[in-house]
Amino acid sequence: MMKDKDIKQFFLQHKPEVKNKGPFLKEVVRQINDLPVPSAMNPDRQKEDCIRLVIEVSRRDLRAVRLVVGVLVIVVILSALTVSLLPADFIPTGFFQFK
Amino acid sequence: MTREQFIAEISILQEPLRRFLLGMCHGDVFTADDIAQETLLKAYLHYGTFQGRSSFSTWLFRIGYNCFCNHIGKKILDTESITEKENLIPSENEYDKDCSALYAAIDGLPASEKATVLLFYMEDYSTKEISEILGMPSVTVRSHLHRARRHLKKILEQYDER
Repeated sequence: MMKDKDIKQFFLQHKPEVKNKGPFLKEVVRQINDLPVPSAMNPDRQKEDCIRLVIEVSRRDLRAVRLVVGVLVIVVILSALTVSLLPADFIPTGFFQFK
Repeated sequence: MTREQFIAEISILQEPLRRFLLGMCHGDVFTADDIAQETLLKAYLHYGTFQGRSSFSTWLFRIGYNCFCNHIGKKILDTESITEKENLIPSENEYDKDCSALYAAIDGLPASEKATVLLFYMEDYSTKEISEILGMPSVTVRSHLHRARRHLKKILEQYDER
């Protein structure tokens, strides 16, 4: 009875031999050299992409920091106003009546 | 990956890719090499689409299989075996004598099963990798393998008896 191992061995024994490896690769390389370098393979482009990414992230972070600072300033101003207005509530009502 | 790294990668992978395509093309060296060349140039031009989710070789073989399907015509492949197309049968001198037994063994298989068998037994790919290459679920790959095994066992037992 034929086993899986035997099938594998048969394939390995009878696998086709690839000829002309050198000339084939040479021809492919020649054609590749005639083609423009894809942007994904351009090292300068890769660097530019990295720099663009860093700038984008820093801009996003800066926007987030500005938003937090703005909210904090508003909170501080509102609390300062509340604190300053609170004592006025305790001033006797007749205090400002001079007549 | 730079252009030089890409060339270094394909210099290693050209042999298994061409061997696989040779099996798919039933030993027609010229067609197999044409498809292999098209595959490598397509991989080079569309390298940006390689996301690294699978290995580079898996990605390359997937392009190779797609090129093969485009070359032959996918609709025909799904319904009949390649040998049924007269124009794909190579002339006697195109066969490598040592491989004729292998070509005869995979002769009656449909293309997707043939690809599964060649990748699994000849190129040592796992069922998961084959499913990525052929773009089908692992379950389908396993059922293809099961069917192909039955066919191969029958053929190889006859071959052994001779």
